[in-house]
Amino acid sequence: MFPIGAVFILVRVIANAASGSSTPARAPATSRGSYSFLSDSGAFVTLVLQVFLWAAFTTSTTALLAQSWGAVLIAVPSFVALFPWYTTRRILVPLGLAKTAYQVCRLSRVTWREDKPGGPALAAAWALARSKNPSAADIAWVEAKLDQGSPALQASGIVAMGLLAAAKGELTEARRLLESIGAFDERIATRPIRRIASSWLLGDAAAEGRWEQVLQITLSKRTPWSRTMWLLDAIARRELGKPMSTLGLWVFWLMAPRRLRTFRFVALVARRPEMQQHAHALGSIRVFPGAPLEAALYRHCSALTQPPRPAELVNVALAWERALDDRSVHHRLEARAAVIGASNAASAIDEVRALVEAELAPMVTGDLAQLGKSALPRLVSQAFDARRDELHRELEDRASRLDARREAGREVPSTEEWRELQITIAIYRDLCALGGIGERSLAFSVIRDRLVNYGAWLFNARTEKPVANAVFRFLHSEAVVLGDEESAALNRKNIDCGL
Amino acid sequence: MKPQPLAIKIAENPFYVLGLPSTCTRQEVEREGQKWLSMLALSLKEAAFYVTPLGEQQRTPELVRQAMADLRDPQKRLVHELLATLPAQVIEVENTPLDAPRDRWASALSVLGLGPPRKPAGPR
Amino acid sequence: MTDRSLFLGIDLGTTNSAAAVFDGTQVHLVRTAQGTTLTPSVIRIDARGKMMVGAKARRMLDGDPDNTRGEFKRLMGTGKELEFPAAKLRLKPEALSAEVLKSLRADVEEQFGFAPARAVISVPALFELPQASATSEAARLAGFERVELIQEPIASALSAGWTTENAAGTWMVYDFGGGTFDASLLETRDGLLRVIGHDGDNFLGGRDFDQTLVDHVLREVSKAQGGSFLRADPALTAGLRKLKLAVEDAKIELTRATSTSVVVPNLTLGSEVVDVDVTLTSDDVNRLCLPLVDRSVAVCLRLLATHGLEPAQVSRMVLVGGPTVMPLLRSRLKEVLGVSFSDGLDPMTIVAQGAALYAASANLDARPAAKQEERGRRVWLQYPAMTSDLSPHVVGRLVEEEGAKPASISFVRDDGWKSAEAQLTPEGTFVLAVDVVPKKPNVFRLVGKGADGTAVALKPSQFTIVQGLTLSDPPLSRTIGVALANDIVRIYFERGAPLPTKRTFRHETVETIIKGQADSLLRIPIVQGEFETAHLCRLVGSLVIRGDQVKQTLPANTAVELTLELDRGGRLSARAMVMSTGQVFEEVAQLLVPDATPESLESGLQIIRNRLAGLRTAAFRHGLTRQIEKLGSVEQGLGEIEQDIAAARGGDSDAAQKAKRALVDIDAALEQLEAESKFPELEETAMNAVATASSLVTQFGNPQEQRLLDEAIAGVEKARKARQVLELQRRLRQVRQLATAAYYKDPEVWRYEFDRAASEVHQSRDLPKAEKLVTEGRAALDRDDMAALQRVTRSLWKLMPPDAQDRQLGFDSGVS
Repeated sequence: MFPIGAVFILVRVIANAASGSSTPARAPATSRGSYSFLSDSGAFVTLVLQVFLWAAFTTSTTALLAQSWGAVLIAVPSFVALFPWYTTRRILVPLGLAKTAYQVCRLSRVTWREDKPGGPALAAAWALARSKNPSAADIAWVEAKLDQGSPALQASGIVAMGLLAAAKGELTEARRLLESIGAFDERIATRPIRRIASSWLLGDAAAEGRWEQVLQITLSKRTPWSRTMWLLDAIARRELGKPMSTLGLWVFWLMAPRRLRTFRFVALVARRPEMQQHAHALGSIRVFPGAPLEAALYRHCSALTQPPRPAELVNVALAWERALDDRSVHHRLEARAAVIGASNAASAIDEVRALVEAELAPMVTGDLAQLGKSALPRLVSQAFDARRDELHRELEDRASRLDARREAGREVPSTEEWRELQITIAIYRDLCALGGIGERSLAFSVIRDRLVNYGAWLFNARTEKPVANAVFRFLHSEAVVLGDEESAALNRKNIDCGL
Repeated sequence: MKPQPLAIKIAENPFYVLGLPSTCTRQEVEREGQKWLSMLALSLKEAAFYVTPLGEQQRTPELVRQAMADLRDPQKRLVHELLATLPAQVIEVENTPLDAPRDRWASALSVLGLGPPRKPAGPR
Repeated sequence: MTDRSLFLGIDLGTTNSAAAVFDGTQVHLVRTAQGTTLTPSVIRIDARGKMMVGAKARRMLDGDPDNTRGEFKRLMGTGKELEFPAAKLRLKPEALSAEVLKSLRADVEEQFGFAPARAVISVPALFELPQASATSEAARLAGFERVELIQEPIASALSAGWTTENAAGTWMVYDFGGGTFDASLLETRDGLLRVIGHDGDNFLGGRDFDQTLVDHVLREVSKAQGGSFLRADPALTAGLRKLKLAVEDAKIELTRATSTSVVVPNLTLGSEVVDVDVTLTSDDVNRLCLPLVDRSVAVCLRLLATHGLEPAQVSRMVLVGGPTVMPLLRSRLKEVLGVSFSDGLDPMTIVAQGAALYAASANLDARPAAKQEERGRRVWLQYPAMTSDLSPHVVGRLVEEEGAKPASISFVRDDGWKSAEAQLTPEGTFVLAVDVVPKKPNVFRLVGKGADGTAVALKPSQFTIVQGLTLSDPPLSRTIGVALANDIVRIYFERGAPLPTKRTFRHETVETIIKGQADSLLRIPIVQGEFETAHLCRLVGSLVIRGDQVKQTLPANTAVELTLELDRGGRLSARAMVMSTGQVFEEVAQLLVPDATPESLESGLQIIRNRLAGLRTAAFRHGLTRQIEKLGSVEQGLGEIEQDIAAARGGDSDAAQKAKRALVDIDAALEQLEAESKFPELEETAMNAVATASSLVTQFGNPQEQRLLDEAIAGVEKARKARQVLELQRRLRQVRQLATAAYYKDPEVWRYEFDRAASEVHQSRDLPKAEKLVTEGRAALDRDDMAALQRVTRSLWKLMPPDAQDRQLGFDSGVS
């Protein structure tokens, strides 16, 4: 607990005095006057206040050591005032005290110097995401604070939106928003913001056993390190059969916080032999014995009861193909058709086949592509094509809607602009996951020009520069991957227009 | 036209709704249908729910009428017969040793101090 | 008033209406004050506002045509008001239908001694929701407490089945009404009537015969008088009414004779007064009416084909409606379909009789609720008032009240048969099976016994079950669903779904709805039709949530739970609940048949003509003979639409609706043909694009682009083979983008582009600036500075008018 605040202010005041300037020469976003409190007179007052607080804290702590319990009335407030972000992060957020976290975080001039209105709202949202039963009133309160925040949408606001979605139980939305932080410039998506977002995403992926994703997050250069992250990285490696010794696992456990609570999990993982892929996320393909129709219906109903892994989807399709091609099923159906007066037993089979295909289509995910499309059973392959077509339609629809809205100049609140954009990008990513580079290029052709125009509109007409910058950064990275030099150059130029 | 999802076809299978075997006669369909409708109209609790492989469902007059209409059409009945092959009881989902249960880490968020524990995945 | 249940059925027809009452044993036709069984669906309102309904009003069609209205059924649900100038009144078609229903209700009261409170009213099978809804509204206005609707062909078959001893097999009901034509396939088995399917033409009816004959007579008069009289001429309206009545009489005459004359002396046709005396032979009628009959036969054949049936498999044909007495029609049906007709049925009242029978099966007693004077413990009973089952169940529940409570209940039939004794459950409920005697009313007495065996009086003390051919629920005529953002229909109720019905699905919004902004809308369109593509279906209602109604801004992807509900009469209600806020919206707007002004019809027709011309050219170019044939048959229908639009200009709103419907149908047909014809063209475009892209990418592209192009070409090939239009369009876009990207890598390209931009500089929005840029560009060219040249060219593009900018759309939208 080093007096960072006081030192920081001291350094800034000295630096300002030395340069003779009160305005920092940094990226456009930082020139928005978000730390105008550092103007000479303001900084001086703050410095005096810091010194006073330190004096109060030191004196009251000394008194407490001398068992003068009344000093606690001075020690606690001065501690909170000196270390507001630490108090928020370590005490108020874990306790789920949203409103208090908001107020205390407002004192944090150091951590949130770039984003004064966003930080407190983020802290409050974080507290709600951590509490077991967040009240609707508290969520609404934080949402209202978020609306009153910065005129231009910031990364903190987006993470706050994501955490609020998590608090409401809207996990898909939460994932989409928190992952979208990756598109922002690091000057906007600062380290604390990225740390909060990535820790939630890590926990979420671990809670659902998505270990590949855990590894993807821990390996990203943009994920700020933490001891919990190291532990999860070790567990993910072990779960996925990647190199991670038992000793290494326990070392990471020792380093991580909450050792007592995580012991049971780590022990479970450590018992497994090293370098063995025992629970591959794709699942395993196998044929089930028994009467074919019963087996197919059983597999199908199982898949409906819990989201199936790709291999399970294949199992369902294989079971159906076996059932629908089975002679005994055909004979049984023909006999029944004769009894009840149905004209066409074969069309009943066709109808069921179409129903199965339609049902499997929404369950198709990019993971299925890992099994190799050519190796997929016909029913899954058809479902795969149907899903791909559906995603294309959706992407075209969403992208053209954004475009039409831009052209008509119909504005929605900046948080909603970002949400709509992220939904479009999520569909784009789902589509990319279904195929290789060719599929990605095809999907990119839908959004390439429309999103550039949309980003330009956000930048020029809406003055949502951080968000627009994130749009260009996303397009730029895609254009680079796809070797689209023209688009890459244009988006690079746009990125350089600043924040 | 795009068909209704298969999940709905199973959960609302007329044989499950009417509580009849797939070999029943047309007269039985009419009789049982009429009986359920009368029982529902008088809120008899025995009529409130029916069981399917996908779990217990609420029996409504609309479902009973739809079931009766579907079973009067032989072609539709044939498809329903095919989809009512599993007995009218909730299936037990098996987890083979190869497929490790995915709910094991449901409490990871709370254990790691990152959020409240997740509810294990249930029927969709 | 009788103590037996009486069931009322009403055939609310375009030309005539009828009512029938079923007493559990027999069907009685309701007679008017004039002693006839038919009430013409005609209304007259005089200058004092006095209303005349039925035969009296019909007689005034001739003398006071401006204040006398008929055939308003065809306008039901359109919202169009009809004018009665003398009384200065404008009334909606449902208000006029209500008057006809009131008249029928009065006739029932006169004959049976009570004003009926409940009834079943028949509607054409192809009536859509707005029309059905308007019919229910008319009944409400006429004073009915509750009505149910039944489709006319089902009513006819029910009536035919009830009167026929051996009713098993497949039936076809051929229903030629005044304004609509319906063909239905039905099957009776085990005493149950099932509709296999139906088809029809909402705008083909007996009236079309009359109009065809009127057109013929007008042509003859024109020839004889040397003028040019057209039905479309608004000035002729009054005269035409007179002429039409004369033609109708002649048509009836020709059912008995081979020749007759249409004579109308001193007929005023616009500014001229003419003496009409035209000879009409049965051959003339046959020649003129045959195309209309054949239209109906084609519908029958299409219906049979749809269900994989041959005409020979139809065991019986039931003829319904006045026009079916025409010898031409009967002989043509025999000739083409080779079926035998059901005899002994009155085609004019069969529908009303069937509706009355259906009222019994729906337990819709027409009598107003009588005051309970019985004594004893009250029991709620549920049983089928009419059933095909010989052992139906009766379910009961004791009403919670003071008094002796029975421990068991049994039933005794009027002929002495006794049911088993049912012990009451602790909740006071019981389920008992009873045996019924076929084809007659079975009266059961309730017997209650206390725990000690003493008798406990129950009310009601008895109930009646009629056994016979039944139809339990009216089926939905057309599929109903919700149009989604991607133009796909999410089905709620499939065609044939029994009514009433209700279903709930969850949807997600695609755009943000901003709180407080009335123009920020969430529209949920409800459509009816059999197409997967939403825009081809008919919009029958839409639920709108406006920004100024929502509690908070609804982000994109907000979950909305939508419940659609249809009552037995086909009335639609919708309820949307925003899941996150719990806010409920129930207001369904625009439940009307779309407007059809002559101007909108004209422009619609013109668009169709243009599309047809385009398609024909493409079909000839690609040598698609089948396509050319299909286009020919579509084009034939346009002549008729033109006639209807002309009639619409003359004030015939019925013809306007007919034209509107026909345009919608042609639009759907063209959509299909366009998809087929576009493919070869699209294929050709794609192949050209592939050739260009291959050349450009080979010369200027990088390996990545080459690889992407190879994949894109493979995709083009796959889409071509599978004939997937959408996929081919997607691939074409990708190929073009790759080609464009490669094109701009050509170092020389900026020379061409600069030259082109410089040659168009006169179009520039800022000429001095553009000229300065051209000078700069020339200098850059001289020093071979391609980067500068590129910058100059791009700046020049920005100064170009929009169409010139199009070619570099997307590349030039950078940030200022």
